[in-house]
Amino acid sequence: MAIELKNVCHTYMEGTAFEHGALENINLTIHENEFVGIIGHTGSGKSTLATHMNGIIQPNSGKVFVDGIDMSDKRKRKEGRAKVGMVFQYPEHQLFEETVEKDIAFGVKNMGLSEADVDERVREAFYLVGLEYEKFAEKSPFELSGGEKRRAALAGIIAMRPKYLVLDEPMAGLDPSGRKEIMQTIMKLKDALGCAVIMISHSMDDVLKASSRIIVMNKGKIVMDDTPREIFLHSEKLLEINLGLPQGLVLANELRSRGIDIPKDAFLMDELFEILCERLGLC
Amino acid sequence: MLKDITLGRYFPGDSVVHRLDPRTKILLTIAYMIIIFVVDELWLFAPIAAFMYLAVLAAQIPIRYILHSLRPLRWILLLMFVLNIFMVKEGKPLVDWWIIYITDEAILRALFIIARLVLLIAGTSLMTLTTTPIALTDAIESLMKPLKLVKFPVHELAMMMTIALRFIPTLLDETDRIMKAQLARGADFETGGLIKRAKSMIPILIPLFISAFKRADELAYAMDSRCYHGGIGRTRMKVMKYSSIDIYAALTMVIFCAGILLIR
Repeated sequence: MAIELKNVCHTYMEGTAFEHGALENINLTIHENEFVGIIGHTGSGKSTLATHMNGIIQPNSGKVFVDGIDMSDKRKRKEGRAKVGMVFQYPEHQLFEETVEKDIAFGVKNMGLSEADVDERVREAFYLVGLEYEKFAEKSPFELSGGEKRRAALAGIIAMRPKYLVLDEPMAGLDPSGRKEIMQTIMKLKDALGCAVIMISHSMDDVLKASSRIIVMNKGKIVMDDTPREIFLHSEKLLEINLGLPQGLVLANELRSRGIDIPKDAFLMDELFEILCERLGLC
Repeated sequence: MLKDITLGRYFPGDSVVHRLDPRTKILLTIAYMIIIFVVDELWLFAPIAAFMYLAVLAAQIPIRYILHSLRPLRWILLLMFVLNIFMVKEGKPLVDWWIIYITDEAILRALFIIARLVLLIAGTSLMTLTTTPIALTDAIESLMKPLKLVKFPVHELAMMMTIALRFIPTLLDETDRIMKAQLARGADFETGGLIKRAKSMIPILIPLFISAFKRADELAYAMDSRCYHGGIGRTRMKVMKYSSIDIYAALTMVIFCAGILLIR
């Protein structure tokens, strides 16, 4: 059971003066329970790739399968779509209901569940994203703060209990503490729901911390697809396509250039901290 | 999805037609429209169509773009054609069977109306295809300047048009994004009766209005903080200037119109 993309190509505005390619021959399998980070520049095709995963946009050629369901099949698409929860960039822009509770329930209700089930799932979603039900349920979503709005929007997707959760820049536009909270929420969600998470980001540090696998995109193609460790061991490739490096790697390189002997595969902040403590005889 | 709508439909290029001053283009298009309405015989549309074709060639625009702009009107064109065929009773009858009564005059008139409309649309779409919407509003403002004498708010109107045009693609993008987001939450815009479908628009319209109001507010602040205070004393970044090609284009049009009027 997995999301499979086979030879997927996508071109925007085909046949007009504004035609531009977004994806070129993408082959990709995302397994259950993975945490996949997708990084790349603006316009590298990462958002387009993500939107293909639940069949909201269709490839110009190639096929997308969700747990074996062909997403080009109009009748079966809905079933596949229910398995893939999609959180778009700035998801708080999609809030529209009178109360937070109704908004979170919108997606679940569209699944045709009984009222008791809907209520249970909505309460669970409130809890999972860290919003107090009693405090927020009856509020208008437009009264919330930026971070709370984003949580509410996230809860609307969570309540549908997706098997695969696709997040497009979930931390964009939040302050550092908001970013940290959302990141923690996502990690918590993954454990609680046992779903796969596909997270698009251009922050190397966020991707490095959470992912079990990283996909690097450039100009509509997948250029690297490996574990974080392998990816960052070949950091020269990232620099080639002008992507930034995670802080830890920058620090490790800097220390090395000043003659401090740091092992080649150490680039997590915690690892570096320990190594340095050892050198200094502090622990 | 919505991205495939080509509104404003500017076709980027650097042809002679593109380089014409937008004011010239508007005036020439008006002249062209007048000549189409003055012509009262079907065969006279042939030289006009040829002229139009040459203009499209000069603009280096694929002819299918012009044809594409006719597509939204295909039903209206068909209706006009059918109505004319059945309503006109003068002339020699060609078909006279049961309630169907068609004369040669009717067919000629139907063709005449269609030719007139098609040429009219082709001409105006050539103008919008070769001119950016912003250049067009600038030109309209400049051409309507005399109306200021009768206290008509020319500048304000042009600014409103510019802003509206500027935000069409932005709001289309926004609508596209919101639609996708609600689709991902299982919203269904395609099935059900009229009322259900109208209701299914609510999850799109509310976020769209909210963001449009927010944008309007932000734009107002942005304009205010740049000391915008209306048209008086305001200079332009791009000053429109007539050049020699405008004179040639105008001359060509004058000769062409005179020619058509003479043969008539």
